[in-house]
Amino acid sequence: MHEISMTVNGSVVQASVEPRTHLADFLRDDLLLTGTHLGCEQGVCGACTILVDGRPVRSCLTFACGCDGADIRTIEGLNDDPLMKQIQNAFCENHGLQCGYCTPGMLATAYDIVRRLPDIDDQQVRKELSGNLCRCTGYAGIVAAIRQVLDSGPENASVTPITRESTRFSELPKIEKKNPITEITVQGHPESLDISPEEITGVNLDKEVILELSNEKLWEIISDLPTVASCIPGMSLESVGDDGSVIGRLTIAVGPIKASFSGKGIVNFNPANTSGQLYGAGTDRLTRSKILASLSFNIEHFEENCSKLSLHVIYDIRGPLSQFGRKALVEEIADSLLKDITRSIVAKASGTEHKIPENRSFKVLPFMGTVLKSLIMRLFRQKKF
Amino acid sequence: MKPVSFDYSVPENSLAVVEHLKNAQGTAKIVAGNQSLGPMLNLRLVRTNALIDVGLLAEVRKCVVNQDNVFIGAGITHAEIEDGDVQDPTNGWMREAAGNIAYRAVRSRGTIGGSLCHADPAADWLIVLTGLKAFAIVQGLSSNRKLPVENFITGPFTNDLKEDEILMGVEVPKPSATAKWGYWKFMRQVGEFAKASAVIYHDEHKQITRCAIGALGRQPLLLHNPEKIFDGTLTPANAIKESLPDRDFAEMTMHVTAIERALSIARNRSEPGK
Ligand SMILES: Cc1cc2nc3c(=O)[nH]c(=O)nc-3n(C[C@H](O)[C@H](O)[C@H](O)COP(=O)(O)OP(=O)(O)OC[C@H]3O[C@@H](n4cnc5c(N)ncnc54)[C@H](O)[C@@H]3O)c2cc1C
Ligand code: FES
Ligand code: FES
Repeated sequence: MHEISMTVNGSVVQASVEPRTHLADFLRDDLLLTGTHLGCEQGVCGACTILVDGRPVRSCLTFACGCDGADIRTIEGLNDDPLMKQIQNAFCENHGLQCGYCTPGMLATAYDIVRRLPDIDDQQVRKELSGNLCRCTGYAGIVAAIRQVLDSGPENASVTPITRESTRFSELPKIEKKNPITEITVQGHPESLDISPEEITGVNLDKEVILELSNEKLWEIISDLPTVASCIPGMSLESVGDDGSVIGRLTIAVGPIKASFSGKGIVNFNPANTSGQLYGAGTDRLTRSKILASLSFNIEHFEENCSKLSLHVIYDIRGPLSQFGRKALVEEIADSLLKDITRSIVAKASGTEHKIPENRSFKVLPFMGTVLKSLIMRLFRQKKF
Repeated sequence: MKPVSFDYSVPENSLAVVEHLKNAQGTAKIVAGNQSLGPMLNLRLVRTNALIDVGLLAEVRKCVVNQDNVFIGAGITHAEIEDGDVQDPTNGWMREAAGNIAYRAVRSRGTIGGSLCHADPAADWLIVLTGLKAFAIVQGLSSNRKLPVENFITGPFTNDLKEDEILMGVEVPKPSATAKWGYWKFMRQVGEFAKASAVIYHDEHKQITRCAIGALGRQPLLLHNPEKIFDGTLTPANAIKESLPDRDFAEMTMHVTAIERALSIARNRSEPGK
């Protein structure tokens, strides 16, 4: 617990808070100031916007423990403020609210707009309001309300920005070494695979790599699941069924973001034309994110002693990780992984090991044993990121 | 969703920060504005044992005006730059860029240093500071170092900091009076991360021309032959094709458009700040 002292709506509040408690939860749950609303808790919707040290901030992205010495104003604390009264009246007159969920955040933002930018036009009002979402009004009433305040001359604001400095410092803490949680162990088997490859839609990605390996040799490695899985950094195979089903796990990290997907896939090999397909689904229990993906691959002869591996991937990321599923990023990661995988495959074919360089931009977490799994299904999972 | 539980501390100076980082051996994270880390913690995309708050740390909250450059502390917020509370070495270019990052409530707390360290490929400061040829000033336990911003960012969401280093700030060179600058980004919606972006910087007096594109999967890409892009002898499409072959048409078009718009901004406005 962390001791803090702050001013909330003009009164001094002293409290002991858990560091992970954000300011909005502290205000709502501990101080029962439920005028501050929470929507997304990721900074996007603006419902939680309040004034901290006179500036609009996201209370969902502000830890209560970081507000020692701060001056906090919630909607409840602006009842007697002449400017807020004027804005509230304008919202009433212009249909600036309906259900009221966005309203406390809208009012805090509106307060900041009229105080900071008294001369702006409607276009700029809309731009300034873009960080506050309203599902009811269609914004026209809100813009009109702000226009009315600007046109009639805003009253004086009693709350203005101030700069705070730290006054209380922590001793250098003793570190107890505890390992950060990197995965949740799942009891039993991952969920069953109840999708068909046709149902997987999403972002399409095409990749081609040339390997210094004959196409026969490449096919030999790729069609052997344990071998190919061992060439994919971060992958472990749990089981391979006779029906082409595979169960396994893939763990990867991009910068500070870590995820470990466990899931199931189906692999089909077509030796006649050295091609294959795999599809599957995986879940990262820690972030509750899900990946659906399918991958088709094809090996062709390419010049002397070389072969071309072509991959077509379709992926769909759901849940919190989806915001990191943008194609450019996934593509970058896929390219780098592909480089490592092809190097590993080539090394394996020549009987040496390819060591994955340390300290690269995305790396696979330290991993357990080698093994198998739907080769590229994992490969594409990595791309997911 | 709520973050996993963690310890929290407010160190008195940068030395205490790096000592703490050293002791923690990778299990603690610095937090500044919490505008990038916060969402990831709330969604549990990132789990950490401890947060070290540098948001109010005096050493990273300062700004020093030197003859040829301005040092802007890592803890200076986007809003402070937007409002001109700290000196803008570029006479307005940085203020303008700052004012178009996210939303005001995010800018109130988000910092220039946090933005660089977080290294989202689509972030504004990454490409703007790369374009301006700025330097990152890094403090470690026993020494400090200075490196170009383009070397500080090493990949998507990845920077060059060692486990026990802190970014103290950035050193931004002052462009000469006749320098030209254009920055343009494409967003579906105001405040959203860019889908494509480009900067062009042409300082004839200092003999510097730089052109970078951003919002790729990686750090901003400095294009070859920026002088030719600026004087029009190399088209943006050819410049990109050379550095980024086999991108799909839609993506290429966005980057080409970003460069064209940045060029037109640069050509149509003469001095810094105009
Ligand atoms: C809704 C929303 C929209 C956004 N839109 C945009 C946008 O359009 N463009 C844009 O550029 N940004 C955008 N952002 C991000 C915003 O600019 C953040 O403020 C910024 O990326 C991170 O700064 P911060 O101070 O909040 O860093 P924090 O979140 O506190 O930290 C980010 C990372 O940097 C590390 N770090 C911070 N300071 C230091 C330091 N001094 N030394 C070493 N490591 C450090 C932390 O450990 C952490 O890993 C958006 C954010 C939100 C919530
Ligand atoms: S709840 Fe804070 S921005 Fe949505
Ligand atoms: S009034 Fe319902 S969300 Fe805005």
